Amino acid sequence: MAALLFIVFLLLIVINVPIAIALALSSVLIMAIIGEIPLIMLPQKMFAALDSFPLMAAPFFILAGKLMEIGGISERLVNFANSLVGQLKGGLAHVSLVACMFFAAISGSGSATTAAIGGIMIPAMVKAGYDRNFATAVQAAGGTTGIIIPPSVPLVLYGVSAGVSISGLFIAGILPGILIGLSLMFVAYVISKKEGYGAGAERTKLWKSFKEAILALLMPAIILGGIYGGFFTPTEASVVAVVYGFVIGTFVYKQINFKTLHTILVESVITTSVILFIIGSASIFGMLLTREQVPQTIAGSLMDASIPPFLTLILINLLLLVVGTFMEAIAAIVILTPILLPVVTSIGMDPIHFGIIMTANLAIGLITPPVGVSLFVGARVGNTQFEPLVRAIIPFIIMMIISILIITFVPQLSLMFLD
Amino acid sequence: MWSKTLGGINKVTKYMTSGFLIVMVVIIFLQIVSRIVIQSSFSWTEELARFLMIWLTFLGAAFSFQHGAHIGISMLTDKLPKKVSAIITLLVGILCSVLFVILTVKGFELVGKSANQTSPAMRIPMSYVYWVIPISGVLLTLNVADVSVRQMITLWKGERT
Repeated sequence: MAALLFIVFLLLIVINVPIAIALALSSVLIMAIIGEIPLIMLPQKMFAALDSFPLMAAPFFILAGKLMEIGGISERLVNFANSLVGQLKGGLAHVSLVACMFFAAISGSGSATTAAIGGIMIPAMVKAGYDRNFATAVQAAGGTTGIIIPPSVPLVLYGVSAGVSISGLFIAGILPGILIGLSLMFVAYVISKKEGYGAGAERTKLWKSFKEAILALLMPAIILGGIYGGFFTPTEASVVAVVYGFVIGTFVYKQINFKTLHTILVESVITTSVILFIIGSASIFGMLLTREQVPQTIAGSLMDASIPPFLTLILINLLLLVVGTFMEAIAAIVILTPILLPVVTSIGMDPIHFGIIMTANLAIGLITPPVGVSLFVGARVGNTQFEPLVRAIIPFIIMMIISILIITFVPQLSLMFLD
Repeated sequence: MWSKTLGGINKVTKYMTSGFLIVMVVIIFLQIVSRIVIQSSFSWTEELARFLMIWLTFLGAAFSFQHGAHIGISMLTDKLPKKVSAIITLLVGILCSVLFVILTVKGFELVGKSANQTSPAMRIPMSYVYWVIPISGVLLTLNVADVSVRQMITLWKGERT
């Protein structure tokens, strides 16, 4: 039955049935065939899956991210990043990567990060004589930190699917996110050296740019500090982020008005409902998988084949990489978490550590063809062709894979700040 | 007439769901403030926000079809000849409608079954909350039918020109 469930699901996916509908429809078909489970479970399970307070962090972080994207924060982050790393070789590439990391620390989305910083930095790099494809590749790759550095919508969804602490995941994501950011800077440095890209534009005064960016920089301090210090739950922190983003975007930077607010709200509702609809329908799919004992079977057969744990981890990384290239990160998390989590816990891995590995792997999917969202956003913002952009991004992808191997085999990187 | 009516319904649900999102932010923010200031919180805020999120999800999923926002994998269907793709689009529309009709019928059944249940905190009948499922089921069916038929016609015509 489990095999049939997967076959029907894949058939539906191949003909471009939306993932949420494919999950529910294949489950309904199997339920009708088995005959023991009443179909009223469909609305019941969907409702129950969405009836969750931790899950509410997802819509709030989506809304907060959209408020920040318009709210005039990006320019100030770019100026501050410029005063930090603008003098390195290939300065502007480093500025855009560091600005991406800062933006990632206030936004939970990869493509939003690429769009917000790329809109400023790609034209600036091209003007300074950088190759347009390289500039866009830097930006698209930088966007991947958006979902690894907390807050992160994919981490919220992993936490809900896996039943682990979202606060813990956020804390665990900090160092791996920084590692990936730094490794991307390393690639940018090597390429800039080869191509002879010079240091950044004018040196900006550190203190002055810091003061201007302070309101934006306070944001991650409030979110992460609040969660780490136990003042807020992640959901509460996400609401604080919304209110903070709204207040400074409207009253301090004066970029948000009634019209932009309406657009922001409608876009947030659409993104939220699409994601949560997948969560709802995945819960029925997951219920059938559990009933058919699919995760236990996979874990059991890996044990029987006496595959050593490190090989299992490599295989899982490969699987996630491949899935990430053709499936949206969020859909992949919701579908694969219930299947893979029992497998990795059976070889002694911490569920929080696995969440970081999974998110990092799927982050690569943001910048790989054919469906890399950040790649498309980058190509649009940077006004580039798709194919030369793909060639330019390959070194960044290779470096990210190396980083993921480090994240996988050095669990302390994710877990050292957790009790 | 048809597209005007559906467009009108979608406009209303767009305003409703945007309003839900605002209310969610306001009441959860109030919950934090009250917890910090008067060191107690209301029992109803969290429940109301959860129910609003569920309403937002189901109603929003319906008009999201008009924005092509539901995530699918189009890399294979994109490569097919336009006429074949038109037929597949229609097939996908029918498959989605089948699911949404089941959701409507079973959602309606759920409303009927839960007439005597009340929510733990606000003490409102759960049937009120569950009503969103059959209502959205109808809206989902209408929207997916509308979008699929229009897309199919465009694709079919696209081959000839």
